[in-house]
Amino acid sequence: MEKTLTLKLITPAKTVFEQEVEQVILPTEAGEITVLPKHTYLVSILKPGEMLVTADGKESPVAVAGGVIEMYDNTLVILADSAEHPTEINVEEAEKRAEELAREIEQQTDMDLNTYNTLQHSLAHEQARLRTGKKWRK
Amino acid sequence: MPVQAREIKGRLKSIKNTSKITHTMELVAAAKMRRAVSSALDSRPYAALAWDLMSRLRDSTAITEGDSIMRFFDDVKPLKDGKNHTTIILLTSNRGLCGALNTNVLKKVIPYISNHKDEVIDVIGVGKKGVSILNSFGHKSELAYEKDDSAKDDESIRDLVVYVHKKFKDGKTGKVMVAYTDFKSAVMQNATLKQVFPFTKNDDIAAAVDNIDEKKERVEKPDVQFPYVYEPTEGIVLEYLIPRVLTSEIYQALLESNASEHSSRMIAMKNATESAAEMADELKLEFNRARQAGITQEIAEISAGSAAIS
Repeated sequence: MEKTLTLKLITPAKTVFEQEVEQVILPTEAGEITVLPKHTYLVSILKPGEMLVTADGKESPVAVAGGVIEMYDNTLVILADSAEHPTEINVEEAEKRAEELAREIEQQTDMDLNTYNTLQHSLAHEQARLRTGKKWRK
Repeated sequence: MPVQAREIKGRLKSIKNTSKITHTMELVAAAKMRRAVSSALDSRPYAALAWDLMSRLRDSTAITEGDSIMRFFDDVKPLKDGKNHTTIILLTSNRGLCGALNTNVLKKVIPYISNHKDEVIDVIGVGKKGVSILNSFGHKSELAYEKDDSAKDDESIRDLVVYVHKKFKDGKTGKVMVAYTDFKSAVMQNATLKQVFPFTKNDDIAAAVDNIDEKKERVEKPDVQFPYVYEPTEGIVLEYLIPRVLTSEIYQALLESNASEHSSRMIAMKNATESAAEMADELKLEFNRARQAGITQEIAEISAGSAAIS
């Protein structure tokens, strides 16, 4: 029985993780899921939120934006728009950005669906960063 | 100073000025190139994996969804008017002075257009040069964008992606290709014409994967029907995934083109500076010769004059 799976967490800017891990908890469109070694072949949509990676018995949180996940052959591939460790997150800045976005969404009276979705998505991302940042920063 | 020498001096000066300009442009291009190359290299794994994922899904999924998604995996078929429609996204530079970069891309596109006279080919130009060259060739572009040649994110291509995706989904085109310059190294760039939609089985997708381990893996177990589970449903996931893969493909093509453009411009400007220096050296010799000839002639005249007096 294999005890680890290969995690590849990749964003357009860089490869964040490429290593053997024991467990990954991640937020998807269909709810939060936990991926363990030998998980079945799976394709799903990643939601902005907090991801928890367990490697060598240690948990490390990552704030992720939307993306796609694919599990195949004991390899978990996560293609995310962005991914950050809590230490990299500037909480004050995230807070300000989240406020700005929320205000922008309120103020717009007539906007098309695409803009609205993009704004909502960015807001969800900022809020996820904020939550993760606050929770893990000591 | 004799007339000839003065003329040469003027030319020498203008060459030196030009070489100052080309040298500056070389330095600017070099700085831009470093940035463009690193962002192109950084996002390569993402684009490769996204493409890879798509090909694994294609090989393993029996698509049961409606027509609009089915089209992305099916073979190229003629549209309702009985003709094949192709959309080519053409990435070139906005400005010239970058060697054979644009010519090489167009050398891929123009033969394609002339060899497929029975097809309706729409070109979407990104970058001014490609659009104007195609115009002079007699092929009007359907849409023209300016290329964001220091792209930091995919903002400049978002509209384009939405447009192309909708066009294919609505059945207004049967094939989407992207023409760009693949960056290999500062002195090596390959003009490439790559099919993006549909994700048919027989195209050269494996070549786009530069992750060797995965390539091997797939060779080991060919055509296995992997039972992928889609969450929440196949339709929703594919609906979400397809535009993203398109974005990542075009964005990567944009970054590769940017890296190629700046390095190609840098090399072109380096060559220009070098040949300016060579010309300046030659002219300097010529100038010295002319100056010496003038002096010799003046001395001859003076001594002839004094000989006449005495």
